[in-house]
Amino acid sequence: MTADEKFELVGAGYLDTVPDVHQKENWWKGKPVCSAVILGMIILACVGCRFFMTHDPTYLDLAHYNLAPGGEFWFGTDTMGRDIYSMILYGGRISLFIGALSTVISTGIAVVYGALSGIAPGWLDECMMRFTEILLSIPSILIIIFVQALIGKDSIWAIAVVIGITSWMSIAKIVRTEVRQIRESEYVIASRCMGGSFWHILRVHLLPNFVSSIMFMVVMNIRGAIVAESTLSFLGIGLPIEVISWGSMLSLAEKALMTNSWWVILIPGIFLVVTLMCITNIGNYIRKNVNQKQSNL
Amino acid sequence: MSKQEVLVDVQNLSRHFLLGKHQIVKAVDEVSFQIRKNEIFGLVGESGSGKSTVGKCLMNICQPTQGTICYDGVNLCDKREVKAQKRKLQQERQIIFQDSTSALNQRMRVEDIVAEPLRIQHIFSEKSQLKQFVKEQLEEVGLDESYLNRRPSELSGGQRQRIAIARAFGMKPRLLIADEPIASLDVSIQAQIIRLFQHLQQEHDCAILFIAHDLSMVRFLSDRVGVMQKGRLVEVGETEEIFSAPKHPYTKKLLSSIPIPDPRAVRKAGIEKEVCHEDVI
Amino acid sequence: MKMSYKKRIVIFLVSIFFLSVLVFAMSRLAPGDPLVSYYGERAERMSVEEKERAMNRLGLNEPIIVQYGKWIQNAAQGDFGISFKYKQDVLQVIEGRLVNTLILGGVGFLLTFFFALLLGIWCAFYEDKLLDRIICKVGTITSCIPEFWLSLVLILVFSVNLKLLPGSGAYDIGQSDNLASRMQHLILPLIVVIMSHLWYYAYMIRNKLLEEIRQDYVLLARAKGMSAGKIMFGHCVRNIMPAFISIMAISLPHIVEGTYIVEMVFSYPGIGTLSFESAKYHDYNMLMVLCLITGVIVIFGNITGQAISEHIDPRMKEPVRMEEVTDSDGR
Repeated sequence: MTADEKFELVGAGYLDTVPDVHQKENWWKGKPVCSAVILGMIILACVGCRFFMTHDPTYLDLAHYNLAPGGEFWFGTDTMGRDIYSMILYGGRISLFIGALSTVISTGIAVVYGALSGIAPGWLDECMMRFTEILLSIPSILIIIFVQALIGKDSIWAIAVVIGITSWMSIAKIVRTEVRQIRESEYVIASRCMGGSFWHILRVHLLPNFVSSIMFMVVMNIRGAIVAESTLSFLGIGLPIEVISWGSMLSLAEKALMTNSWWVILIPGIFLVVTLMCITNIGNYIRKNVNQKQSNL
Repeated sequence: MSKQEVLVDVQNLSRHFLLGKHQIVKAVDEVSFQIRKNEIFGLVGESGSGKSTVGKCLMNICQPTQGTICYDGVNLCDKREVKAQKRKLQQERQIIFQDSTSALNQRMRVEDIVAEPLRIQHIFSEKSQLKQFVKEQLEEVGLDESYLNRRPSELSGGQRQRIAIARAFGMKPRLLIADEPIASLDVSIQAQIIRLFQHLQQEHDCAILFIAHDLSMVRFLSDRVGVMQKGRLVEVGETEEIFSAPKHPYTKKLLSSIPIPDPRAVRKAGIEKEVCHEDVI
Repeated sequence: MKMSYKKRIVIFLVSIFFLSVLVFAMSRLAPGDPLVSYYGERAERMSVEEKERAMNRLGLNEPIIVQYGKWIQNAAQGDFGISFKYKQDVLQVIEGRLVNTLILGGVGFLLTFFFALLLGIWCAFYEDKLLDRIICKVGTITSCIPEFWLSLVLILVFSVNLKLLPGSGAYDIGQSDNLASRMQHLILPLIVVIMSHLWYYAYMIRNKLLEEIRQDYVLLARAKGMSAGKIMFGHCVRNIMPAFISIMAISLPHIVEGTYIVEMVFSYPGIGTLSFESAKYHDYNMLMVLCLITGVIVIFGNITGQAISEHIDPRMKEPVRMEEVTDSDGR
């Protein structure tokens, strides 16, 4: 071995090969494109279900009940003779709608509550946060069941509202922390001196500043709401069987188990899981992005 | 004479902070002074002497522990009175902060920043009017239209401070609290901002409470000066009186700390000045 | 430390108090005659006189604050009213179920964290290797599967098709004392509870460990010639223990929730099934007590978890709050 081989030259001309900085970076790299496309397709198919459905999803076809997938019924029929493929599209609309609506409700409550708590004087803030912690200590499914039992209605709106008003706590906590940090900023004080009301300050100064940090939680809230709805409907205390959603479709599972018709259980469930996964991936991407931005600052 | 009419009357103002459970910090202690209409009142003192707290009390940002503040017939310490006169007070009193970075919301455009108080108070009903007015305000502080769509982070400190000034003067205030508006700026820009203050004050006829620790600027700008030390107002008077013949030892000490560009020249001039002074007496 | 235990107990009691107020207020918002919700059908068979007495005893014609006081008084004597569905004292009904839930939830909780720790260490050890990546992907997928659907699939596979394991109940009929039968019935629910939470916490632990192995002391230990395994178990894992325990404490409500859902699907006679049934039959009295019990368990778990992790690592204790310069008027 010569000396040249043994030792590496690390002098002035060390970097003789300049690293190729012009590497082709694909724009989709690191972005959840696959999830976004799949989710987009599912949403599109559900919203425009009228054009994609092959059968009337509410029609009870007693001649063809409990059929395995194939032939006329792509995904088979359930124990009441309804076409599962059409039901998935039709019911997905309701599931997604409940997910979105209840997230809007819970985010709205969370933003207002969190901002109030953040602006409020110390003792009130302490009380409000204790309150959210107590609510958080009861499993959300129990609260939802409780509130649902109290309201006692099983319409789509009622379910969305129930899920919405029982799942705002964790977002509210983040909002409150963020507001606590911003509220002593001089522009907020200046705005208050100018006579800006609570709503004005919230809209103009606070909301734009914390919206990126709650985005992840908001996306995850959609996921949680869809899961909550399907769980409730599955258990028979959410939507009734006549109102088709992914959850209420699965509530026929018990009968399906007896007849061993796997498609009634598996197919809607797979759609549900794929949707949830896409949402999770997008949420994780948002979280990573937010964190990156913060670390760069 | 309009100059003699009192706009703000501060009597025995005290503001205490609780530090922990037992320690009390007297940030402001029994301070009394008056600000007359259309005058620039300079408030000087070292950092921590309570100057800013006085300013905040005048803006109702913090509530005084004791004492009264009377602004144009309104008792600012009475919450009910303040509430009743809310609109008047919000329009007539404006504040400019030291740190222009945190005084302007980084996410807003310059246009929205300047328009914010006008929107809150619904001064203009039409959008085009509002925009025109904002443009005029920016021009007045020496910024042209191209700044309308920029964000504070793209501007320099001096430009940001100009925007804060434009925002404050847009409301045609009668009392402006300038809380160390030049402390965080470069010296060359300080002079520009001071000129701007002078210019705007003459044009708008408003009283300014100018809080600063830079004595030469205060001397240049203000009509009357108050000197604060550890929460107490140790001396008040006409600017020239205080700067030429300080009575309180603290004021003397403070004045001696002003850096002088060419000490020898000034010493000479100073002696002449003193001679003149004695002549007058 | 003595002070802080006292403080913790105070916080615990205050939380329970607020919880009870909340639950009471909610149950009083319930539609219908409170007497009916308290005594169920019995109320309809009561004579006017009896009704009056019951109303007086419960203080239903008094202001709500007094009512709350009475309720607390009764509750302190173990009288939470009568279940509408079971026509029994609420506590009697719950008593038998609580043990079942504690077994399922407790074992599930411990196993979840045992496996999560193992998996987290494993993944951190083989960071970015193929296996770690596969586990990460699979883990993300499993954490997206709703508990009830996973249960359904498992029942479909293992009890309907393979006929290996029972798909419902806690024991075969009439064999409530048969341990083997109980164990058999526990397997599927346990798998669901563990599967649906495992990755979430394993991932947390993995990330905590990754942070830890980037510390300088690891480099030093490597330089001294310590083996990677020894560093990992001797230092890194030990160092994340307090964080691990606080994660356990925080996760309590989630696992309890999972347990309840699983119980409902498997019709396992526990608190979850009970709460679901009482919601279905509008048995508010029962729901109220169930919420209260769950809350107490969770809050207690939280506070204990905090205490333990602080005991292990005093640094975890919140820094004694420097009273910020608070204004004298408390703003």
